[in-house]
Amino acid sequence: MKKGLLFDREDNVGVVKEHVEPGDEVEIGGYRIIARDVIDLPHKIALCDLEPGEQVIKYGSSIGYATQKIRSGEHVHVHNLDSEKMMK
Amino acid sequence: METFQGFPRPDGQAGVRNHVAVIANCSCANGIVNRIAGEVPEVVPLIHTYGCSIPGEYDRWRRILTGVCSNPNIYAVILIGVGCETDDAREIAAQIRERSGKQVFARIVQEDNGGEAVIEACVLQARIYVREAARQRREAVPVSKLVLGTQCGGSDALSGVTANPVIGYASDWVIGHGGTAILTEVAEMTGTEEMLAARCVTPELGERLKQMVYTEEMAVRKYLGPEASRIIARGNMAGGLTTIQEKALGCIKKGGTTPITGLLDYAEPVGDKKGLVIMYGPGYDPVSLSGLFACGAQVFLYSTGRGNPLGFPAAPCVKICSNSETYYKVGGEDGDMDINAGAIITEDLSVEKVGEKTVKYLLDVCSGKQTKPEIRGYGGALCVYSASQPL
Repeated sequence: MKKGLLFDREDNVGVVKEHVEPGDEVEIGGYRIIARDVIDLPHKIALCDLEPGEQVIKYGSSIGYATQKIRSGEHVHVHNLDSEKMMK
Repeated sequence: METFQGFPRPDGQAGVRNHVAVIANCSCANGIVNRIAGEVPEVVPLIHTYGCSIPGEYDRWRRILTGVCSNPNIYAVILIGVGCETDDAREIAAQIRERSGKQVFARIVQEDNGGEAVIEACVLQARIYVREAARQRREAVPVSKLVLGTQCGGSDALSGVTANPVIGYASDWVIGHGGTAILTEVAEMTGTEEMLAARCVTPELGERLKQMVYTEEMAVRKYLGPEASRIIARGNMAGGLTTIQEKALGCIKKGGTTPITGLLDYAEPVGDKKGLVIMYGPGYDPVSLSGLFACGAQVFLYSTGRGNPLGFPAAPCVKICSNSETYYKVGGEDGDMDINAGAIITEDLSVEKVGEKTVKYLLDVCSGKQTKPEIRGYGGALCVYSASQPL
C-alpha cells in the first residue's frame, strides 16, 4: 500500500509521498484511493470525484476550481485545476 | 533568558556578523568597490546596479542604502560616491552615522582626486576598520534583539508542508522570546489576505494588509493577464504546485501562528517593532533579501524545494530544504543545504522536532557558525528592484 498526506479534514485532494502507478492503492489520512494516473511526490491526487467548477480544497482552503470533471485517484494539476484568483 | 553571542552596536541593536562593508552610492563606482575588495579581502563588497537616473525613486534608494549600511551586521562602512550622481554621498554618510552611530568613511571620486586616490584612501581606512572589527568580541545578547527574515525560493508542493512550517515554528519561537520575524513576498500572499487580516492586531492594520495584497494582485493581473493565476515559476509547477493560492497557503506558513503586529514598506526600518511584521516586497528572492536586510534583519531562514543556492553577502542565510530528494541531489550533508526538512516525510519526524533543531541551529549561526551559503561564498550581489526604467 502506497502512502499519501492529508493536510485538513476538509481537503478533497491529498499529496502522494511516493511514486504511484495507475491501479496502486494509496492510503491518505483514512481514505483509500485507487490511483488512476502516474503521480510523483509531492503532486496532488483527488480524494473524491469533482465536478467542473467545483472548488479544490487543500490546507482546508480553496486553491482553485476544477476545469473539467476529475475522478477520484486522478492527478490534480495544471491540466484540470485553475484559479479564479487573478483571472479575468 | 535565551541569548546568542552577538556584536552590540551603539544604537542598541546587535549584529550576528561583524562585516566591514564597501558600497557605491551609484553603480558607476562598482569597479572601484571591487578594486578595494581585491586589496582588502576581509571586506564585504556590496555590488548593486542602482543609484542614479531613476526619477521618482530617489527617496527609495536613499532608504535602501541607509538601511543596508545601518544593519547591525555591519561594523563600519566605506561609501564611494561618484560625484555627478543624483544623491550626495556625504549627506548619506551623515545620515547613516546619525541613525546607527556607526563609522562611515565616504570618498567622492570627482571631488577627491579621482579613482586611484580614492582607492588608496579607502584601502587604508578599510584596513583600519578590519583590524578594529577583529578586536571586537562577541557578547551575550538577548533573543529579543533578533530580527529574523523569512524567505522561500524555488518552492515545491512540500515547501508548505515541511520547510515553511519549520520556519513558522522558528518565527513563533523568536517572537515568543521577545524578538521580531518578518514575512514578505506579497504576491505570494494572494488568496490568503482574509486569513492574514484576521491575525492583525487591529482591524485597521488588517484592512491595510488586505489592500496591500489586493493591489499587488491587480498589478500582477495587469502584467500577466489570464496567466496570472500561475505566477509561479516553471520549477514550482514541476514541483507539484498548480495555482498561486496553493503556493500562497504554503508561503504564509513561514509566518507561524502569532498575531501580525505591523506593516513595513520595502527597506523601511523595523525599529523597535516586535512580533510578526509584514514587509511589502516581491517574491523574487535576491531582491526580497536586500529589502529584509535594509529593514534590519540580521539573519534569514530560507526554504527551498528545488535547491536554490542563494545566500546574502552580509547576513547568514540558513537554507532549509523541503524534501529529501533535493537535499541529496544538491550534495546532502556536504552540499548546499543547511537543514533537511524533508526528513518530516522520509523519516516521519514531526514539524516540532525539525523546528527545535532549526532553532538551535539558528542560535548557533547567530553566534558565529557559518551557513552553507557563507562557507561556499554564494552571497552574490545586493539586488534591488526598480519600478520604473532608468532614464
